[in-house]
Amino acid sequence: MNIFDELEVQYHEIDNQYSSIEFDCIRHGWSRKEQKYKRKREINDQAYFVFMFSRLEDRIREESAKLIRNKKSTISSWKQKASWEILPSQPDAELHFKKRLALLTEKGGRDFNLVSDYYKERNSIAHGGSFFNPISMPTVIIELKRLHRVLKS
Amino acid sequence: MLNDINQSYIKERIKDWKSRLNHMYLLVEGALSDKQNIVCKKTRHTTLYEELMQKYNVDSEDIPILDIYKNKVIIATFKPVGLWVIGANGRIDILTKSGAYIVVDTAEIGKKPAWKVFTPKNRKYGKNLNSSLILELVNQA
Repeated sequence: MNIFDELEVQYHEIDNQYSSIEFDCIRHGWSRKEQKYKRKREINDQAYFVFMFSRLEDRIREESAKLIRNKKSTISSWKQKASWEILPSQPDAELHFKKRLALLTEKGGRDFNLVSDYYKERNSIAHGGSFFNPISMPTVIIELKRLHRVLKS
Repeated sequence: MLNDINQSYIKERIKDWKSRLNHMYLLVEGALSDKQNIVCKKTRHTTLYEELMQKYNVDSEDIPILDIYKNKVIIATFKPVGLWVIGANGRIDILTKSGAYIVVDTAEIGKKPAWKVFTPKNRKYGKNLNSSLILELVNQA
């Protein structure tokens, strides 16, 4: 079982427990407790979204660094090599995330736009944005797993 | 796309969301109409007031919740969660004692809805929302 599968199972277990309690509150007319569990589920969605996105983020950093290293070591023409030489070889080196992403998938393409949207949302959640959009976790998890598989150097 | 967003666009999206929900509720009510011990009620509502509505000065809207009763006991609640959702074109949760069925519209904006249901027991694969799934849900509750 990979890290996505583990997180997915754990996320759904928690969400089902909370939603079962939320439903119980509706049955009993406990509206304050219902709101409390609704909020708990929202926060759980956000937390797991950021957690799972961070796995994809790592993958993109690793794969883009691998591609840069590979280009630097295999290109012999100095003209072609020069553009790669200015890029950092390490995954944790300073290079904007979207620039790394553009090395692995076409800028403006579906996957690029999808990861960019997730990245924007991740930044909003991680940096204390005052708003948040609800997340369709089952469909987002399917996409995160697919992106983790296809974004390669 | 972002340049096309204005107040009337937001209002159109809300109108479309209410229409999609209404059709879904009609499907549910229709699927359960011949069940003597089942009653569907729309007496409660949730408030839709999402970030884009606030940004473009659009008033909040009451969105009906659909409750299903079996032998006068509530067994499921269709609770609209949001219209502007990451990863879907709208989300509704069906809350039950065994957890939440996550229902999302996977169609593109403006297209015919393609509702997918992720059940509490299987959140990995979405099933189509249809009469047999609704009957299955009610029978399990």
